[in-house]
Amino acid sequence: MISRLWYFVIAAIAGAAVAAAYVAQGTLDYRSAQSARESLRRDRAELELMLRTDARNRLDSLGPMAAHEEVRTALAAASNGRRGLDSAARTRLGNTLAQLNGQLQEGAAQLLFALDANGAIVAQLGGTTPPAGAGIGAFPVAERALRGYLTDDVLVYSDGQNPAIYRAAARPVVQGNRYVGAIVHCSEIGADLANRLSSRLGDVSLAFFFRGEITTVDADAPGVSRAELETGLAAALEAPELNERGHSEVVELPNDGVGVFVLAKGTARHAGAGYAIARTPAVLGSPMALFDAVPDAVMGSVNWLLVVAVPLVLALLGVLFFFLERDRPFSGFRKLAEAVGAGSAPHFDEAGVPARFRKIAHSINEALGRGGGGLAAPKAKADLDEILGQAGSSSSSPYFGFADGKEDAPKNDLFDAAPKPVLEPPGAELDDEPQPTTVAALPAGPPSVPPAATALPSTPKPPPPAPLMPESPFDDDDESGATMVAAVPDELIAASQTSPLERHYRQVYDDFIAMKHRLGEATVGLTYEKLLATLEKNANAIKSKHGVAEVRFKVYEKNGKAALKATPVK
Amino acid sequence: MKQRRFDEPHGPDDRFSPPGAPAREIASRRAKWSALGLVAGLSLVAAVASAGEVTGRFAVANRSMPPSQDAHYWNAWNGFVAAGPARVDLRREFTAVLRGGAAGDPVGCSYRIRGGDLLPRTMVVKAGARFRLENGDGTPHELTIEGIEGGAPIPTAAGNARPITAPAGGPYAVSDAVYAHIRGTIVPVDDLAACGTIGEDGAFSFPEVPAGNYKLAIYRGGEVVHEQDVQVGTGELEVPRINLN
Repeated sequence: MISRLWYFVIAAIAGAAVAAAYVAQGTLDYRSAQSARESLRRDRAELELMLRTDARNRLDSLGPMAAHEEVRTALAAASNGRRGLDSAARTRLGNTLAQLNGQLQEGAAQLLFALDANGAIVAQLGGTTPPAGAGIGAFPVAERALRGYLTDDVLVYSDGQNPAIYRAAARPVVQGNRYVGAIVHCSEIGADLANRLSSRLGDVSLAFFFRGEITTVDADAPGVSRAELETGLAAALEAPELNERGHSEVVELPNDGVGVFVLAKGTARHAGAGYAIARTPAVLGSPMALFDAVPDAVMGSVNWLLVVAVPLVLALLGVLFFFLERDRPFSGFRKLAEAVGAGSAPHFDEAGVPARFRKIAHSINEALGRGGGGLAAPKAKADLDEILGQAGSSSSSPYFGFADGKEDAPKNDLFDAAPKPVLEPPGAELDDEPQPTTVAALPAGPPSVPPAATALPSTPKPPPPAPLMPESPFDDDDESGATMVAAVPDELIAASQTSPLERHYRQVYDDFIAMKHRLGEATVGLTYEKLLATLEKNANAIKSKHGVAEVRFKVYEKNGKAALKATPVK
Repeated sequence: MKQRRFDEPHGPDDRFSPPGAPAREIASRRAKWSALGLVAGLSLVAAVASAGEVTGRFAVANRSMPPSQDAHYWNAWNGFVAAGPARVDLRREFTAVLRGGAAGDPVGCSYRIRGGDLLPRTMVVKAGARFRLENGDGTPHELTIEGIEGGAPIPTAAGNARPITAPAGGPYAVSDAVYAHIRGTIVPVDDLAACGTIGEDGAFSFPEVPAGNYKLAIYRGGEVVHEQDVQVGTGELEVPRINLN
């Protein structure tokens, strides 16, 4: 039972382990996704800080350019509406600006404007040559710079082919205590910026978008592709948060990624320009991936002794339970079977057989009792011949005893071919209380099969043979050791109930059966009818010999076997 | 004989004539066109000789503007010279027109994007007439004109112009799909006669206005903020100073 229960325990443990693995994997995935979302918020704040710092750096780098004497002089002259600036001066200014811009090295502008006080373009680096008199004075970044502010913007400007997004920084140019113009420095937002910023952020994908399309993606972006970002961007553009708050909620991307989309901090947001940050959470997807995701440090901290010992102990316990409940009983049963097979035991001692094999033993015993069907060596038929002994077979084997123990006691004519039962003569006085003198014992060995059945033609058909095995005192299973007694016909029962002699014979039969059970003898085939016939024959013989009217029988034990003693009654 | 197409020249003498037209008929047609051109030239000379100039000045009580709300990371004073306030650009913000007079094409009207914004922001045009909106900037603009057929945002490259026909009605809002700060209005009027030039100080002028009776109208934000009758003769007409709130 414990081993069976152990299977359930092991199954429960296994189930719990599987559940724990799934729960752990799900929890890790959930926390990883949550962590990615939180990281995106931090990434956005960090990126904003980077862009702010970047803008400040560019503003500061413009200081020498805006303070350059030639630049100030040229813009002051250009701002003089009457004279303006001739083309040669414009060319010189352009050259100076190019030289100063080159000194900015990595911070050099791709597009740079020198504006007069009215915002007209006096000199321009990069892009296409503007129309005569063109300006950008109405652009907010230029307008603020012309009024004296150091300011920045993210704006859209054409490079002559397609509009591009620039980070703009602008400084006023002061000459003679008045503003004479401004320098507007524009750096295109491209892959270089994306790579530089994303490398500082860590495992993120950074991209810039413009008018619903991803324009630039960090080349080193881990995990999140341009197509996935465009899918997320489409979702973000449909939601109102992007325009209302300037940034989207965290958007689910294909393939488990998450991203947030932020409009540019500048006038370009009007044109739908902004940036996207995306992360791919470390999703396990399966409990089997748990071990792949465990860092080496964590693997090193695992108590492997415990990991190995616990299953080992559980396994050993299972083996122990299995041994105790199956192997050992089976081994005992096997030994008993071997003993039965070797003939050292006539049958299984069901009391000594483990409970779980008791039914098997009982069935085998039954088979042995019926002749085995090849299961065991042929065994004598357990019938009345065997139980009562064969007439003339041996003087030591009769079961009948006579009260006076005389040798010339009447023969039991049931056993013509068998040894005659020894009927001891009744006592000389033939008292009412008979003196037991002769004992009839059961034959020791298996008798030859007599034609006993034909000797009782008038008796009712006997019931099916009861189990051969005696009732085991160790058997806790009632049915396994019960002696099966065939049902007695109703007319006989009625007759016995009406006749004292019949009641006596019935009592003798019951006592005889009980005695045999108690002594562990087989009662198979020993029906009341058969015993009755024998009793009546013997009674008649004694009556005729002693001239008595009645013979009483008594059951007693002789040499460990049940025997009957006849007592004449006058 | 080879059949020639109608628009194919037949020879030096009938280059623009239908095939088979007699030479005499062609000569008659040329004479008619010459006479018509002569009449037109004489009329132009007469008109110029009878044109006058309208000048004036308007003043705005408060030219300061609220600061820009555009998002940016930095907007720090430079630390040397006091920063100036945001001021209304009178050239962009106001439009002065003359309405009435003899029917004809308006004179002196030009509509541009220059310096990064509309000039002027209120574009008073002749209703139903076609006008050109020039892009004088170095970058394309994508103007949207609400309520006008063909007013969808179409990129206008630097130096190019976008033809627009504004039907009667309106006014029609104008915006730029790329630059949020570009916002204007198109106001169609039936009797637009002339568009004035406005200086930074609010001075305006209408050179060569045909003599006649007009209404001087000053627009701001698509609405008339001042209107008065003027009678233009052959000389210069100076309109008394106009004070606008």
